[in-house]
Amino acid sequence: MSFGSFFDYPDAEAGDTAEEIVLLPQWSDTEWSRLLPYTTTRRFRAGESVIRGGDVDRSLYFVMSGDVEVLLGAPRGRRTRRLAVVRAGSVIGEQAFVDGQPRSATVRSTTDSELLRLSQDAFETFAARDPALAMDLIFDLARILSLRLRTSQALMARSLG
Amino acid sequence: MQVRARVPAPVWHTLRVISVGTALGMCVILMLRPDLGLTLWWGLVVPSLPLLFFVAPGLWRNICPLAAMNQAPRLFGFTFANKLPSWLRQNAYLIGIGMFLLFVTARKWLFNTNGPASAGLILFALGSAFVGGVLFKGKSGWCSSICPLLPVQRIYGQTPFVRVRNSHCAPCVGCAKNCYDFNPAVAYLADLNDADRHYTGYRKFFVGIFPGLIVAFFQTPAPPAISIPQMYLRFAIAMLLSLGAFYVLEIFFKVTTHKITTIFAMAALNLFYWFAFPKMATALSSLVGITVPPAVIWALRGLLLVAAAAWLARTYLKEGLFLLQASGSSTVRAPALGALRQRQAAAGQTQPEMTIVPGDQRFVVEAGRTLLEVIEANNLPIEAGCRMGVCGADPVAVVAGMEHLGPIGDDERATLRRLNLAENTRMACCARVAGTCSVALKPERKRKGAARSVVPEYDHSIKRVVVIGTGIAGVTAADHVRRRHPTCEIHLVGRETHYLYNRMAISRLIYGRSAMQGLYLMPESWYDENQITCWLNTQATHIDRTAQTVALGTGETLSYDRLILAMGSSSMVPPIDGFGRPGTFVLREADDAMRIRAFAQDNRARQAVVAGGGLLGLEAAYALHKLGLHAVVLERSDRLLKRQLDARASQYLREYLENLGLEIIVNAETTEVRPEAGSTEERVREVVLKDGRCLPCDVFLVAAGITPNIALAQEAGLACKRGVLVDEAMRSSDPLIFAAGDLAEHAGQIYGLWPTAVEQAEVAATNAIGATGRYSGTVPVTILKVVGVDVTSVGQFEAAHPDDLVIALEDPAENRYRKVVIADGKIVGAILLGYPQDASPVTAAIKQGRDVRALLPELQGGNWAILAAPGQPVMSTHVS
Repeated sequence: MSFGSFFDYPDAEAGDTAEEIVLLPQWSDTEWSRLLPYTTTRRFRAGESVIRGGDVDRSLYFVMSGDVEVLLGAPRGRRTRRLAVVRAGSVIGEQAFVDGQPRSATVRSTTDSELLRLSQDAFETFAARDPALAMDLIFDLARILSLRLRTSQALMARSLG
Repeated sequence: MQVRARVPAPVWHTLRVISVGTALGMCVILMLRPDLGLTLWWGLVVPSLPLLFFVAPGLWRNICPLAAMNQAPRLFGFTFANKLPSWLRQNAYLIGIGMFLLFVTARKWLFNTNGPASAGLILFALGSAFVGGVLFKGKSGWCSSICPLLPVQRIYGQTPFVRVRNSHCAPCVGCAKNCYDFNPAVAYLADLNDADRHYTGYRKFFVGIFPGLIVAFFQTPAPPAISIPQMYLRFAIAMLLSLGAFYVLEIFFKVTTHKITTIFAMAALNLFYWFAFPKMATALSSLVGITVPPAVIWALRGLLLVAAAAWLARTYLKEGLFLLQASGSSTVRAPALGALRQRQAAAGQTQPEMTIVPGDQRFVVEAGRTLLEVIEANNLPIEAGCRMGVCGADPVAVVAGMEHLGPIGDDERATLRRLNLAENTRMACCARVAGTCSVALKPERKRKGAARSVVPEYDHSIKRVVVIGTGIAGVTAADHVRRRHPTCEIHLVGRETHYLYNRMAISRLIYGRSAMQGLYLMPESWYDENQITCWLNTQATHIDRTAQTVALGTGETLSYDRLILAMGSSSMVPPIDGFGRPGTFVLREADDAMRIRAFAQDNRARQAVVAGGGLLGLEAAYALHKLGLHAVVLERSDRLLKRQLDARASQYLREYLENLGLEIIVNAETTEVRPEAGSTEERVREVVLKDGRCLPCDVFLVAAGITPNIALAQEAGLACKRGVLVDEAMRSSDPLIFAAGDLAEHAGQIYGLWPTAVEQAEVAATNAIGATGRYSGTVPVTILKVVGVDVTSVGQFEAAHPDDLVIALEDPAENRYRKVVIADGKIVGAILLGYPQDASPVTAAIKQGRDVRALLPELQGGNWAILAAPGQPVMSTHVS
């Protein structure tokens, strides 16, 4: 299990916790550059909301620059709790992208940031044009979600064990 | 996740100098006046530390003299900053625990009573911390690895009451696992939930023995009252009992380990001060002579118990959040994508920024994209129709950066004139982004007093104009009559129940959420403002040409000086047995689309069959697919869009649609639609093809072309063939009656296209009020409106003559295809599949009849941007 999100050390060579889940590690520039045209790019200023909790927006986001924070709770303007800080190079929104449920958390930009967005519509087009790559992507997201499920199960088992 | 800084670094540095000084001073006192030193040190200073760890561990970690020594080499830049060797990293915790046990037990027989030894211990610790700092990077040489006080800090400080940012580590070098300075609130939880069994084991072990250690420490007589081995035996027994209790609890209580460790930590803290408070009171009285009454000690014990209970509750709450985080939000990374983008940015591909106001949403746009493409790709609310600037569905206001948008073409200019909005209006589908701009999705209205775009010019004897048909031809005709003739009465009569809407977008009513909102092209008030009397849901039943009247189905009669017919067309339905049963549809009007959506929901439809592989059929099939149905397209001929595409392009399109999930069957003709065999239900469940094949079907939709609505004209005795025959003035065989749109047949042609209807209606209106306008035919331009595929077809797309030149370029890797047909040096037709940015220059070149002979090598080489008129910025080809 990795607690990288709690100890997001700025140094790349960070201790033992640096193991992280990488999306599509097998993809090279060739594959990524085929996906790029299906994304759109948005810029945010510090403090701007990227995703609002409760929204139905089936998109996958890639943080290209800057930091964003994931906030939990506060449906009616009550206090929010910061769940994680997500830095450049990360992927967010994979759960809603796959299951289409309303966004579980709010994501806010803490610095000026730039994010790529892959919408569900764009993904469908990508899938029709490049079925093999689209399958790679969706399969890898499934792998990651499954990995998380295992983590939760292990955590639960260990905690209760 | 790091704690924010509140106290400036120089303040901390000063405090550290004081703290190291104090520690050294302590040593001096211990050496010179052991009695005083020992009481001060072991009686007051050391017993205070656990309380500090408990309340504000970060404060201690900032001012701890050991940490100051450890960090000095980094501060002054003479550390070797080595990485901790892995054996040391793996065992650091054990070494820390070992030293802690050693020093605590040795107090009993050595340090508590021996000043110089205690001073030595302090100096040893200061020296070790310093050496660790010289050798190893960050705090990994002491504070965050082998410091014997760290295990205690981790236990007591896991949900600190006061969080103080670690001011030593700027920048953080990521030296330690689950760093306690970096994120004190979860470090202990992360330890306990670590995947490494040994690592979690050390934590459990330490917290398990801790209460036993404390009890033994305070309850065991100090040597020489008992022998040293006896003392160690007592310690061992107490710690073993404590550890045993811990594991018994862990085994039998069905709660998380963390809950048990927290209870143990709370017990340890309270036990410690239960014994320590009286001792501290004693030390205090011996030092300064103040006697602390027992009530105060009891009060302190009680206070600590309350604080610890609060801490326990906080710690438990924290665990839930931690588990949620740990299990749900481990960050997924895509470093390769970021690197790729950085290289692209470094390669100088600076891209313009587009801002949507209000709301200031900023998008980075690829140069050459239309505003519409950007807006749609970002799921912002906009309607679109023809996507070539003719229908007028997508006007936007360019608030800033108008000069950074591509130039306005002829079609767009005409539409802007028709819409008559503010100067900063552009049609989103036409405006290509070349630089930074700000756009509002709601266009602005023209300022009062702004010059009208058309100078009135009309026959004053005309008092009353009747237009039949409320579609685009009818409304455009009424609009142009009003522009040129400010005073005449205008009656607009239509069978439909809606004001003019964007008919090209009705397939979205099948799958979208917006219903009619957004489809209306003009607000209701527009009709009043232009003094146009609108008769919705009203049928014209008879035209009396001699009396110049139109009879309405409602009983009224309207007289006219000029009559414009714009009743459009209906869907053509080939003979199919059973057509008309529930579940069979055409798609011509907004109400058709809404009926289909309602029917599909009512009957939980799963299978849709669309008869017709033309533009409408494909758009409808796509809409049904988006609604969640399995959509099958039946095409009579051997390929899709046979009126717009050649075989190759058609093949590309078919592959794309099939990948999208549509099923395409060519050479297929429907003979019958029927209900389930043996069922009493009327609704369609099965489609029978001519070759005998049967397909399951819940929704059957015919999209087989149009039939002009000419019954009324025929009955009135106007010359008709397929449509109402008109001359180049759009005048019918009756000089007072004009026709435009889908029912008008000009030079043998019925186009059935929106842009044509607009052009014809303007000409009809102009001539109807006594001015002159000429219609000379339209080059048909069609665009397929299925998401993700850019298909444009213009004019004559197959060579019609042996001398015609065809340039067809394929890009199989990208599934793109484009083709132009050149006759007599001019482009007469084109097919563009996957080249949206070429659509407007190619179309313009065809409409303008430009001679392209000089450009042939460029065209053959694929540089079709060359067709952009001189002065027009050449848009970059988009990467795909």
